[in-house]
Amino acid sequence: MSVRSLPWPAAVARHSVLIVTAALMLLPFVWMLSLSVKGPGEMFRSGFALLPAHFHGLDNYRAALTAAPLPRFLLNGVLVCGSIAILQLLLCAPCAYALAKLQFKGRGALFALVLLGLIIPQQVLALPLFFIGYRLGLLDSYVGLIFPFVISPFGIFLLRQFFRGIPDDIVHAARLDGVSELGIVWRIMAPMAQPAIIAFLIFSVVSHWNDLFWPLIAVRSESLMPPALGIVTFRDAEAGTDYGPLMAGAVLVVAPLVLAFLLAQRRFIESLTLGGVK
Amino acid sequence: MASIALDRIAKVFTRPDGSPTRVLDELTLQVAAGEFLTLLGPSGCGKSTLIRIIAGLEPQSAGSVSIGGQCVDGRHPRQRDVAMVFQSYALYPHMTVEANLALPLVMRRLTALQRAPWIGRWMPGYRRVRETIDRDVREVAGALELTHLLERKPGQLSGGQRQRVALARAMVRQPSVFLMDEPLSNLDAKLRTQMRAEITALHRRLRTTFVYVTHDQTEAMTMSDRVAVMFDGRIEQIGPPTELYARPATRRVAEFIGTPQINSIDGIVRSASTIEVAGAVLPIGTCLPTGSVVTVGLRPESLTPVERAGATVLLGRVQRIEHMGADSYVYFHVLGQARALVLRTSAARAAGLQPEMVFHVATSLDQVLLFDSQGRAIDSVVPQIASVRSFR
Amino acid sequence: MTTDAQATSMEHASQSSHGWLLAGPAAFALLALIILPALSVFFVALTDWQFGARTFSYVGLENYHELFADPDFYKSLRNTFVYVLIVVPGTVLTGLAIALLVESDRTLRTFYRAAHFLPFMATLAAMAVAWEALLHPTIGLLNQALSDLGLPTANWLRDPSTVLVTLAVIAIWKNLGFAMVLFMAGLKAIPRDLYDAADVDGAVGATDRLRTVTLPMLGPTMLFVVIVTALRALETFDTVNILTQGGPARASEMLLYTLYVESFGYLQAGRGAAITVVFLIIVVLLTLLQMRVMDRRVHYS
Repeated sequence: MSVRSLPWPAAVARHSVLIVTAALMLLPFVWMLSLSVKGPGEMFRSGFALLPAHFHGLDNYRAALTAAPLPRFLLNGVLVCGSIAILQLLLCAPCAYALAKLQFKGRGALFALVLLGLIIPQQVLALPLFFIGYRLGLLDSYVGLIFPFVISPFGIFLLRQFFRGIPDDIVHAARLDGVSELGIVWRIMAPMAQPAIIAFLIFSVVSHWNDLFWPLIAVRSESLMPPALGIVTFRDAEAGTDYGPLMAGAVLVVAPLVLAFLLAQRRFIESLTLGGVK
Repeated sequence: MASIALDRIAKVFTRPDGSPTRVLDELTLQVAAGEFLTLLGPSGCGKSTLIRIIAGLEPQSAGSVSIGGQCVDGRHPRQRDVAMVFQSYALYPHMTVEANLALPLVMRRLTALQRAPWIGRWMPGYRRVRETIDRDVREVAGALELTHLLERKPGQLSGGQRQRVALARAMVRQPSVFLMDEPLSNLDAKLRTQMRAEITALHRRLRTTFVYVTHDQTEAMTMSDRVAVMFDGRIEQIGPPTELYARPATRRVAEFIGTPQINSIDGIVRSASTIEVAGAVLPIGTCLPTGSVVTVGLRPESLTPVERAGATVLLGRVQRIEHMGADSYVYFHVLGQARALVLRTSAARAAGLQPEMVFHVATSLDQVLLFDSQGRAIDSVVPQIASVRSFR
Repeated sequence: MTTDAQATSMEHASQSSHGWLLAGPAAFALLALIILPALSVFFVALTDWQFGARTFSYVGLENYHELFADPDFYKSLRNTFVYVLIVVPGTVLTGLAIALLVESDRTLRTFYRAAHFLPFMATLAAMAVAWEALLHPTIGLLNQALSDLGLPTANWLRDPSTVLVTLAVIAIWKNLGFAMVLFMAGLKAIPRDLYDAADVDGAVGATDRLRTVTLPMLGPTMLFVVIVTALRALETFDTVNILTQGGPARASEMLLYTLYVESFGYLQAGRGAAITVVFLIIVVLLTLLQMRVMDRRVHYS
């Protein structure tokens, strides 16, 4: 808002408010970390020390990694999110290119369908998709976790916008150079649209890593559960108040995205705001 | 090297409001093998659409295109053996210069399997073909002095360098036809002059058919074997540059070619051998009836300030003078003409002139052009003795 | 003229085949996985179908009649609206305030932005587990702190009078950073000379500048953030499912959770579909409103 820096009383006021709100925002994370290294006895002690009297972290994390199939959950997350992201890109990029650069009958209608798909929230589709999955025998499998998301209207929309900004001459030059239409998508357009593609991939991976709704419907076997569903199942199994291993598990589920976020803050923020704007 | 034949090419676009616009109108054109033909015209005349139709980038609405004697209608651009240089250069920004130059060869010489990412390089024959590609790329890069830029990306190059890479990319696969769509219009004046010479030299060396689109008459006049002047989707006149200049078929062609622009003033046929222009009676004969109105075209360099009055001399009042160095442009008013005329003469001859001065202007009669009321050129008969050549 | 028509149809044919070859797979998936399923929901809502049943019959609007005669569904709808009415102003106002504070100076800007944005992208299912520990009636940090300060404590997630507000606070915590980032983008888009003009016109203090320039110029962003936040609040499911299961006594049951329980808990497909339709209509209305706002934003910029 302002080029000059604030006078010092205002600066102090700014920091005192923001430090407090930032602390409140981070409190659940801090508390989760703190509990994940505390022993069972210490939870009940009154007073709130951040650091444990006795470091129980190793036991808790070992319990989280062995008692519950947590590594399996994380692996499932990587597998499912990776497959979804790749399949979405494989389907969306050619379609976005066709919508952006080719003349064909029905293009307008197809784009209208994409926009319609953009409006429909995923939860609305749960019931029919559950039925489709059930009839095709896809439930309780990796395919069942992946198939509803292979198409992303948002991905088509985003890439189409970006492809439209690429000059037609580049496409023409590529055709003259002998590149096929599919070749233009992958050799020319996709590399040029790299920022948009990375933004879309971040958006896709974050959404599906965090998704609980569909996995809850589609999967029963513990061995197939992605991280969000896994941690919930872990909690239900760990009845009682031995928070240590549970919190260690939660930390492990949250950590990959948070670390990635801290490494590439700007990219993540841009990508996730794009997603909200969809 | 191949000839091009365009037979009654038409192109109709549909406007957003649904009404059709005719961009090209039954256009017929032959380009000889090895010829440098320029399509010259103002923006919107259809010249870029025409070159894109030749390339196969846009389908024509009617008519047919032949390249090297073969009809190529409906053929994909890559099957037409043509290369194109674009105004925007259209280099692939994510690839190095080397990759840009190699792409046309990679797409043609390597099989789909050999082009596949990661595994392609392990396919049989890959290395041998790749070597021929690298050799050809280096050869072209050497010819256009790009060798030291091969590792750069287009974003790191100057305008002139990008232009050269675009030329090299078109050359590398030795197409039978070169198409160039305003390739120099994004360069500054000095670089443009230099690239003009380079493209001309390139044509002389390759002896390939060039079709060159421009709105810049200097490019057209200096580089081409023949120029086709286009207006409103039609070819108004086609011929060697000198002919277009000396014998324009229409007033529009005469006005489009030549700097400064030709002076067009109304004249009246007074007799079978005289025309009255701006108060003077010039001894020019036409076959039009007495009293007809004609447009008289006077090239600025066919007008000369002279000392004394005479039969072929107009009376002018100087409006302003532009000194261009060796030459000067003198703008002046003549009787009965609202718009100022311009003449081009040596700085020495213009030295005595000042604004508001009244002076005599001689016309060299054999360079006078006549157009009828429809703007078509009409023949004139000039008596030999009246020639002003002696004044020069 | 026949040649004209032929040429035109020819060019259409060649471009069309390319276009559909490339767009075809996506178009098929779009139809099969989104458009047709969405349409089928409207149809299923008119039947008494249950998952697993071999037959079903057409019951017209029976499902909707039942739904709107059901006090439990009303409760769920009412909870949803109350919740949205808490979450939206809470998120938007705090988001705006924090965006203004963060942007007003440069020091620690990146840190503050990251700290406030972090909850938005962290896995909510896992964070809900952490919140449960924070809110635990006896050993939770919140109640310990309150009792140490001599303040009254509560069983936040088990008390019907506090549960909805508690969930709303978690939603505000989650979405605050998102609103903040959108506001920060809106703030960046305000032309600097407007502030100079305000200075010249005598708007000296920070509050003057805020009132005369910043807030009016943020109007479109504000509207946009309100709708996006409302949409996100409507789609709340994870916290309800993990922390309360709609309880106690349906005090925290919300639309999406009802939809889930009816469809996949009781396998009442027809009834679930009717709820889905209600949900869809609300979301679509809000989204259309959002698109209108976006259109306007595009025009203004």
